[in-house]
Amino acid sequence: MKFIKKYMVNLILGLGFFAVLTIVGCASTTDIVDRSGAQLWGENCARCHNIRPPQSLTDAQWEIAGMHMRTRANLSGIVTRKIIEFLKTAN
Amino acid sequence: MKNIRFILFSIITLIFCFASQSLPQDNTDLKSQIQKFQSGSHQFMVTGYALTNFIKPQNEPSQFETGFNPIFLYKANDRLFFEAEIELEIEDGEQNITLEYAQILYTLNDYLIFGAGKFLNPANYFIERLHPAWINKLPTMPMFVGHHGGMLAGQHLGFQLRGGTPIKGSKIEYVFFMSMGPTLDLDDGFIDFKNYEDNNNNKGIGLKFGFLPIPELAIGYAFENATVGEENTQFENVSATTHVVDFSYAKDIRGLKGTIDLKAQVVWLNIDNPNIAPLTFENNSNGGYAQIAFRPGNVDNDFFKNLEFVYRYDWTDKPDNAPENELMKRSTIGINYWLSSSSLFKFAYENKDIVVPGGSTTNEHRFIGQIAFGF
Ligand code: HEC
Repeated sequence: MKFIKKYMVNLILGLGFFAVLTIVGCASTTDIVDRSGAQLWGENCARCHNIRPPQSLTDAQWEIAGMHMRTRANLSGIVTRKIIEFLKTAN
Repeated sequence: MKNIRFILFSIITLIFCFASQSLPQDNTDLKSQIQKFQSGSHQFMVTGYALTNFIKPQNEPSQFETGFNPIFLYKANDRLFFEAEIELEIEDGEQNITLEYAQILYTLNDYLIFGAGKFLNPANYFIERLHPAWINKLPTMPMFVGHHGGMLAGQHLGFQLRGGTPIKGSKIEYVFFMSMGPTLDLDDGFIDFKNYEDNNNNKGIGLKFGFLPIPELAIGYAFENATVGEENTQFENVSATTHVVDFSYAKDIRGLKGTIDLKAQVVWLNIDNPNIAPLTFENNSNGGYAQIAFRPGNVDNDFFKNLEFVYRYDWTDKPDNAPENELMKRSTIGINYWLSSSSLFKFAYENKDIVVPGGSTTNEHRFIGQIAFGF
């Protein structure tokens, strides 16, 4: 019981924290889906590792690596497509 | 099989032929012609990474270790994808070959992907997203993450459903997975994550949520539950529950002329107490790490902009009355020198305290150098 109680408290604290962050998130500028491929690339592709230069891969390779990263980073379809399009024009 | 090999061989030969000719940069006509040859509708790519370590422990002989992890990616169309990684390594005096992951993925819609096979544990942020040697900022992994052992599975064998949805300026991520789940070790009460043959019908399940209020910040919570005892034994109802929280923040800070990168993850593992000797203790463990890195990437000096400074604190705390119940605390400092966006030298010094039952502490320290290259 003590154990469950401890987790309930943690859960409530966690949810509260999420709620505050949601408000922060919603207040911030342009909607993600309206952002350009270049901006989305800058925002999403430097979180886990250094940004990989567009010139490092061919168009065909970016399509494959893009799909790989879509799963790894839980990107939505539209964001992935915009980033891949940007990489293909910038390489 | 033979046909596929022949087609692959032809594609690779063609790529080599074209790569060895020097092509004019702006000739889009030529580029599109080449792509016609290269692509077809199926696309294949080999990527991965390699590393070599030099380790000097305090009172033991120094060692070299090396590893090579090829990753195979295959895209059949916009929905169907395959990814696999093989780990080949000489480490701890042994040569190992492991199937790191092999997963068929099918995109259901813009917000949901189905995957089945052996996959990196979505609940384990470090393993899923940060462990490859060219991404990990230190040559070691936090003690709890359990790449091969530890408190949290590195991989699962089963299936997953996952995706992400933007909500205005923020994003949520979600993963549900079902897998073989770990098995209970009757000698020490711990669980073994390398479960290739399940001991019960009850499959392990897990959930992971991530929230990114702004692109630089990600926080996550994950939950896993699995029956770990063997069916038709006194241990058949013993289950293990895991809670994990993770945190990631990476931002270019103009005033500091560089990038700050903060990462943290904590795991709590609770295994039921069956009260059957020798498993008669409250079986709760925890572990975690916090890491800060700074790279002055925007200074003018070519040498300094490739340097990176890292500090990590990590710990594992096993149950008080368990046969193996030590508390391990480790601090590691590191300096890296980046050679390209995915290759670097790492120099690290770690200092570990091991507190054993009765409270006595032993101390170990060692130096580790590494070169890592992601391709
Ligand atoms: C959630 C963390 C994460 C994010 C965000 C991320 N990557 Fe990666 N990336 C990885 C990991 C981990 C690997 C190593 C591959 C592996 O282990 O399977 C990798 C590998 C790569 C590679 C090497 C080829 C390959 O596919 O393995 C490229 C190129 C790459 N990422 C580009 C990108 C781009 C472009 C983006 C933005 C859309 C991105 N990454 C966002 C984690 C991430």
